[in-house]
Amino acid sequence: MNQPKEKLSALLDDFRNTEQDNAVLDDLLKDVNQRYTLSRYQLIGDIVRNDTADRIEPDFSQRVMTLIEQEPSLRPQPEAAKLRDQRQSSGLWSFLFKPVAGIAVAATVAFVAVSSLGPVLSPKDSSGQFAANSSSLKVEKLVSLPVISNAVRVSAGSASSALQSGMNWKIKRNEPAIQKKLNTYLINHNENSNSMHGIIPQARVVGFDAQK
Amino acid sequence: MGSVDLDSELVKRVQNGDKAAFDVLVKKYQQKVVNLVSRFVSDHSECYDVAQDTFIKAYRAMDNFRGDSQFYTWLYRIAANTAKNHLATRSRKTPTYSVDVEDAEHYEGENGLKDQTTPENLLLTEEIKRTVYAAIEKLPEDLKTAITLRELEGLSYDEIADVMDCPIGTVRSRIFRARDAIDKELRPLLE
Repeated sequence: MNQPKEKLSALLDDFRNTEQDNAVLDDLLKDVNQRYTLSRYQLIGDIVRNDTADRIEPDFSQRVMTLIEQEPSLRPQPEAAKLRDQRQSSGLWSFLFKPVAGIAVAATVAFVAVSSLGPVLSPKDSSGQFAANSSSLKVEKLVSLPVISNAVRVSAGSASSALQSGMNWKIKRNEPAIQKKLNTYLINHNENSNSMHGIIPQARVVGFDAQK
Repeated sequence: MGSVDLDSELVKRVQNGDKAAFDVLVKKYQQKVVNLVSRFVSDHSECYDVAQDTFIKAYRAMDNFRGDSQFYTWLYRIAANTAKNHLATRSRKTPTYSVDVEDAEHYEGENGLKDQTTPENLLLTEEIKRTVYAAIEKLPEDLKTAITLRELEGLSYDEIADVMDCPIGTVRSRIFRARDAIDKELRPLLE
């Protein structure tokens, strides 16, 4: 087995990952003419096995490799990889920098949130309790909104008691006035919503009953 | 067996940044990939475009290939998915049949719908195939047997040595001489 082409032929069929085989492979990768020879050997086998398409394009691999040459190499640059390895291996870097960076980001976000949302939600309040006060304002605004028909007013006092219990939006449902108002909302919603396309409800059959 | 080991070594070299190793993989599998794609895509010119996309995708994904499956299985999966995506993207005729990637290589359906309007390329292809078959017919019997057992039956060098009752070195030599004789006829057509 002296000829390079004979070694190439054996490499295609019987590669054993020996030092000798790897030397033949090294030569193949350096020599484009050897690669074309290998391509023709492969084509012979494909034709014998009927593994070819109906049309053979001899310059196909060249076309692909022209595009591959424009692709970045799969291995990163040695300098960049070295720098990355140094950073990853540095215990001090990961131990100190990451928590500090995290705290800095969190503090920045918190500052931006406080400084931008504070004046909007509680323009006259400078005591720092704008969140609770804005919730209270929302509840009072909600109960004071008129319902289109059969409006029922809920006193701000009952909303305040709900707030004091720690459940800002869980209003006492069992009170008759609240039940009536919720029921009115529900009936109005069903009459005005688009949930029943093209069908006009003939009777009011939906209601709210906290006892059930 | 040997071929599979060669694939693994080539993949390793591509992953280490050697693009020439990928060139060898393209040369090894180009016909099989185009053949597989042609089961899905009826237009020949599109077949080669899809096959080209397959190899580009394979190259880009090569760093993620861990060798859990054989390289050609992985490559065929990319080819099948690329062909299916191509059909979906172009909103052309969606296949009314279901072909599993394992069976796609052997699927022979839809041949009647393939584009046959490329006479020059068809002529070249027919000439290439005719030349190979004629060159094999002209080979001495021992070389013809060796190359047939290797390429058609897929026997290893050890198995061929057993069948032909000769040393493995003789098998290597016979297969090479057969290929070289066919190559001498084939080469002028491809240059």
